[in-house]
Amino acid sequence: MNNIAIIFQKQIKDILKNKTVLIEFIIFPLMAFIMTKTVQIQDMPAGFFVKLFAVMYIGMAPLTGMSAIIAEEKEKNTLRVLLMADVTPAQYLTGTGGCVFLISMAGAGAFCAISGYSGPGEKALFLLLMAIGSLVSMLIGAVIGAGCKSQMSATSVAVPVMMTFSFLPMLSMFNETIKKAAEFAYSRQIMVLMDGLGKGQDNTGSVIIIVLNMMLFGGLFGVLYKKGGLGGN
Amino acid sequence: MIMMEHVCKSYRIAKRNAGFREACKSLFFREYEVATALSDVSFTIGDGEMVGYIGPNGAGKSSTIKILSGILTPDSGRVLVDGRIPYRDRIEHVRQIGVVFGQRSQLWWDVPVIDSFELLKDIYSIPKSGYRQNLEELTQLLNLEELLRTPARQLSLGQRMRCEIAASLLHGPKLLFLDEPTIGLDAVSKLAVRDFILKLNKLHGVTVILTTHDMQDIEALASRIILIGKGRILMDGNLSDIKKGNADIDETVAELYRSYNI
Repeated sequence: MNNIAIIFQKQIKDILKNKTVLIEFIIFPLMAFIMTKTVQIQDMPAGFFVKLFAVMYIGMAPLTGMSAIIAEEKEKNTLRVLLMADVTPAQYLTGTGGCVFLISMAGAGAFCAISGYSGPGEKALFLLLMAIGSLVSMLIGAVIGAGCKSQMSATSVAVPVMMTFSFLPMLSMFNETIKKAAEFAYSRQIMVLMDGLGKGQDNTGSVIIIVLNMMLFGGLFGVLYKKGGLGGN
Repeated sequence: MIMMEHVCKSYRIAKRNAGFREACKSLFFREYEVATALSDVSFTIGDGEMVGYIGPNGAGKSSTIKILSGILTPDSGRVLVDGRIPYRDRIEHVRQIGVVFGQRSQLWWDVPVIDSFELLKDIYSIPKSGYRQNLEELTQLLNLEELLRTPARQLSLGQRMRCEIAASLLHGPKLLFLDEPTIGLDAVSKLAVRDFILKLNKLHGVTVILTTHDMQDIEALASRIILIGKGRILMDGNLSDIKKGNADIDETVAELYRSYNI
């Protein structure tokens, strides 16, 4: 078995025991399900709660999942054990990222099931948007995990960051100024793309902003990594 | 087996004065100071030796261990362990060494100890038969039978240390670094750990480098002592070289530290 698969399996075992991380992957699809089934408002757009909670979910769960796992392994010294035992940082990040991504996409699947999107094309695009959003969030989580020395400091950084990216799309529905600022956030653009599913609108602007977000956080991770590695040493 | 020649290592440490203003200032302008951890350190250690590497806090013991285990790269000098440069030939090197940090756990906290062992087996690519044999031997020698299915977080310090030592030896390393392995242990656990290390050295000829502040550990285990202070090797000899008559070992070592002004 190669090291990526070993790390992946290990993280699955760990994450299933880590209720604080696991609950975030469950609570949002559950909330979306309950709200969709119980709240009926006149003229409410189709799949309103699914989109709302799905965007909160991708801004929050993969980000905290990734940062919490890396920070915990750093704090408890087990990251050093792995890096000393010929696991490369790239293998560690791929194995850990793969695990967070898989669980994140399981949640995305649950959202998709209750979304009410018709046809496999729309469902596939919804899942693709969830996958892209999760990847950007995981990059931010990796930046926080690599930059912080302990779980406590990672949480104190992750909470405001995830609140910003999770709630900006919702707040931008109520306030024009916030909306203007939110246009630069990947999570807002994911919501715009979800709203436009099946409407045949021009999405070039949204795609560019998401790619720029990805490049920004990828670059930030690169700089941090170059400066101090994963911090496990 | 181990050779260090004229090894130097220094760190850049951020410094600031006390107060809120200084704290804000340090966010934008940081001042650094260079601290010398190792200065022209040279020694050799042969196969199967048990060496006590002693010195006061901040003397450079952990930096030496980290360089020898490949975690740190020295600023200058030459390091060879079994013909390999640790920080360059890391993959080959880590298969031949075991490291125990007494103050830091290397077991995964929430899962049973046996899960951590299985993970290490996979990562070190230990063949099934070799793993089973090593696990059986370590379980017997360290009396781990009852502990293997318990999560590491529920073990006492002594139980956890026995598991830590077993984890570091599963892949059958030829060289074992022990960084304060008996810190915080009760008398019974200390004796069990010491007894195991002696057996390990006798049965398998494992080379042991032990850093500790517990001089009873040194007395019981080390045939040779290397004293380091302020980053320099100050003495390389054996216990009889420093012990005067029936003097208490702690008092003897304290006197030695005083004589070197460290």
